[in-house]
Amino acid sequence: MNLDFKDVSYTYQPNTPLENRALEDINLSIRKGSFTCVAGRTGSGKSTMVQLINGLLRPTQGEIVAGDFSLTQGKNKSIKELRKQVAMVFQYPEHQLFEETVKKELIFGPKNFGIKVTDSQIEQVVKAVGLSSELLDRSPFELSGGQKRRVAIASALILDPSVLILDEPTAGLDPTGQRQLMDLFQILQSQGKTIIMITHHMEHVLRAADQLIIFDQGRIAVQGKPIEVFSDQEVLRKSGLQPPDEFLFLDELKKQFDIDIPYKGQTLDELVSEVVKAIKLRDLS
Amino acid sequence: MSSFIIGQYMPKDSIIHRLDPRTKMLIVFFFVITIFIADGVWSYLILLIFAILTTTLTTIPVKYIAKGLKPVWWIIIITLVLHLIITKEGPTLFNVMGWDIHQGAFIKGAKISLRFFLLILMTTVLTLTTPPIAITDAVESLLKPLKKINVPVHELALMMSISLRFIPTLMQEMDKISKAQASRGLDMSTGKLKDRAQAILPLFIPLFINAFRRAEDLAIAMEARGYRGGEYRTKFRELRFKRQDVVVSIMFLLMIFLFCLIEF
Repeated sequence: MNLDFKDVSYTYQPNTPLENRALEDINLSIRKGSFTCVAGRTGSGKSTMVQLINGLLRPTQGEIVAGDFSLTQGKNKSIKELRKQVAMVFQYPEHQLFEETVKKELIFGPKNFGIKVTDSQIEQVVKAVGLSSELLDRSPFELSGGQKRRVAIASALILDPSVLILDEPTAGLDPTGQRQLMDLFQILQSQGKTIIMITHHMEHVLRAADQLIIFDQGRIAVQGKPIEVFSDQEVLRKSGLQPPDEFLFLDELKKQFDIDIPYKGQTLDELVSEVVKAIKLRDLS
Repeated sequence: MSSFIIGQYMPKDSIIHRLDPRTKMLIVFFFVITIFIADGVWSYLILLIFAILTTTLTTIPVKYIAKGLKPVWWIIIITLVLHLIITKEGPTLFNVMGWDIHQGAFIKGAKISLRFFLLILMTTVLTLTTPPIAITDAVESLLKPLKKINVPVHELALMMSISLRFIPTLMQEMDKISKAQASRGLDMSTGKLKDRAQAILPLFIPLFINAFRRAEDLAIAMEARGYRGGEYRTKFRELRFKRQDVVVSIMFLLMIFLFCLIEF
């Protein structure tokens, strides 16, 4: 489903001395099947923004249109229906596990939504997140941190949502675990799911995202294709972010040797050969 | 929930905020005792004036305090109504649906309600103007004499400050867990009572597990930094009585004196 924010503002504890405007006049749209990354400092409003999408918070002003659903300040009866389609995986989702076995943990969501899942569906999801189905009868608390994280992500995926929201899903995982999860999310996108991910890893953004939105003090500092956003390092730095190594390297190359190679999604190998070519050309002249 | 202010601290820079926490605690302690001694109308008036004066001096908006004490208003109203129904003293004033309402009931009900209100107001002013850590320091300092009879005062104060410190953390965690489970379709607000009662488990099991994990982490962190109780420990924030404490204490004593004159 397409997601649209129309002049959305959100205020925590309105009309008290502790009033805190978390979002101000946000306008953005996320197309069906796209991969959107959201970044920004702590307290910049990014978590608030994703919580508005599946109705955990209601906008103080404005409207959010999610497919056929419209979220405004008033009560929305169909919120459960929306959450069936928009799954949310919080930061450190392993902290939400509570069941006796992994299998029970996985069918907790479907049971709440009144959906029947077959054993083969469970096995499929477990395999998709890279766990062995032997773990299904074990207690989730016996698993390692990375395995717990996968169980939590699987418990969201088993609902087969059309939108998947992830809040720093790779935080605290080793590089291999991070890459495996990122691969999984890209596969899910290729299956037609809309992915919205909060992350600080600009490398992940560069590899996976179609759109990058950076929040700063409750407003959108910049949004666009990752490559375009990264080309303006000033804005990035203001939001406490660092562009991926490729950009830093090419920048330095330009400064020190006056070799200008624009970045348009080359792999490392391609970059190396381009740089070599450029140096050889310069030596010739 | 978030507008409920009992136990919350509101940072501001008023004379009440700057007072030594020990002064504030002692005043509240003796004020509460005085509340329960008070009997006549004038004594209550003095106490009320003192409480209102203190509240005004905090510079915290009255509206905010009144709103934050909403659950307390209900308790006060219920107490008042119960007294009107149950107490049978003095002449009958009027009759409501077969129930005689006595004059004594009004007086008693008003007294109890006012007592309760003053009690909550003053303790709330204390916590609103004093950071939890300062309250703990004050408790430790005031209880120090008990060390002589082997009461582990420092450990008690530490336990108190740790539990105070983790209340907001656990509340945040609860908020996060309930949001996470709501995203997984957990519904707390509709359905049968049995289902709703069962919906508590997915909230409380993760909360307790996290609390235990935190406790263990904290214990290890403290041990790693060589913590071993109050022995030979100096304080970073030393409590010192200042002139304002003396002035406020004298004012309080004056009020008590006035109170005694009227009451006895």
